[in-house]
Amino acid sequence: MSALLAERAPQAPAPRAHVLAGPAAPRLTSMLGHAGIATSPHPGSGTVTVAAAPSVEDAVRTGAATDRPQLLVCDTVTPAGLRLALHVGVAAVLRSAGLTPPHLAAAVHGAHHGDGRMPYAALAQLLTDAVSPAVRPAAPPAAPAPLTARQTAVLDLMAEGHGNAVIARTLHCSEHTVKNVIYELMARLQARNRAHAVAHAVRLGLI
Amino acid sequence: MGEPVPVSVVALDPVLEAGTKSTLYACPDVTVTEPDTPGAPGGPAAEPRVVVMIVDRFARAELDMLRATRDTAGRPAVVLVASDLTPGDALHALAAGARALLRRREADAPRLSRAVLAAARGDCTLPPDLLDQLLNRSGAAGDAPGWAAAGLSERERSVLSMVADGHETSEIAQRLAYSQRTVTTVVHDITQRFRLRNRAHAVAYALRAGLL
Repeated sequence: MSALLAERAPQAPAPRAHVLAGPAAPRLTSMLGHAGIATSPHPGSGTVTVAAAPSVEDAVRTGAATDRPQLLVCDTVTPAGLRLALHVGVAAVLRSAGLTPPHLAAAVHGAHHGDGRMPYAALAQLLTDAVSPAVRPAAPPAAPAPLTARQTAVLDLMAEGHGNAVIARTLHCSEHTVKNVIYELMARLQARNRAHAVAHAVRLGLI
Repeated sequence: MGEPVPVSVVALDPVLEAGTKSTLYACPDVTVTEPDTPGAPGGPAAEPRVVVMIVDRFARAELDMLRATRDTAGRPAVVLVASDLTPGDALHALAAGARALLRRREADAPRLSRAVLAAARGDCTLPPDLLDQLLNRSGAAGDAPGWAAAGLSERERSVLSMVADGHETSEIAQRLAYSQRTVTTVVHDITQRFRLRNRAHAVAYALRAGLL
């Protein structure tokens, strides 16, 4: 309560970032510069080690055992990748798509303070897995090609219990479009009905 | 440095609400909006992208509040700040769509604003010890708090997992040797208890909350 009522943020020293070498390192370093975060050539206290790579698996491999990244910036984050990251002690995993300097700065500060941060869909899938390993489908459906943004948005709304009319209104499209998107989704996820499609999507970490 | 994220605050306690707003006013990356004020012409949009919800515990009333918040215009992401969070609470809050869970004593201005920024991107923020507990749990929602303690009964779980596998009422009745009426009643009980809208909602919620 006292923390919430505090007018001013306590001024902690700003963390520096140590970027692990890799193809995406220059872009990340430049973005850190824009975010006002100084980079350091060495890891150390007060420094957050950051790795950028296409996948979590690649990013984890980037760091030597003595030079573990604390923050990963990845193009794709699968549930398995997230599990690996948490296993090796990385608590902050960021998707690179649409990443802006303020978001990156917030993530570096968060990692410095040990906040756990990760994409929702991958986390939700991991939690499903953690609590109910016994009832996993015997043969989990093969991971399909990634969904489009619109398909994901429709699935998200379906998973929150909305019907076509509300989905159409929320996404500013016609109900006809929503029906088409759902039709595509059913085929793509090999689902028999809406509940089935939503269950697949949650289990695959798509939403 | 990019547009500040429009954020609003809901709390049952007006002192906490005012305190949280003044905390957020001090954060440059966010801008505090009132949920029911129209956007000034040329000004920032009135629709918050993130809502900070301050609660004591996460129980049924808070679950309803979270859902109601998610259903407002713009479908804001919810950052939940609670005095106390058990792993069971956390699972239910995440299943209901919360994107960040913070303990009140840890929710200082920098952490709150980081959680808001993360939520605006669809990322989840969790205290690391809570995340550990969530991932190392075994057994379904065994330590869930009072209102959710029972989780699902054996019968409810078997019916709902068949729903999740795409089966219709008649098939479920046949396979489990129940009447169709029983199957419908079981599904109805689940949706009533967790305030769910339909079968798709029930399946997603149950999977994410670890009830299935």
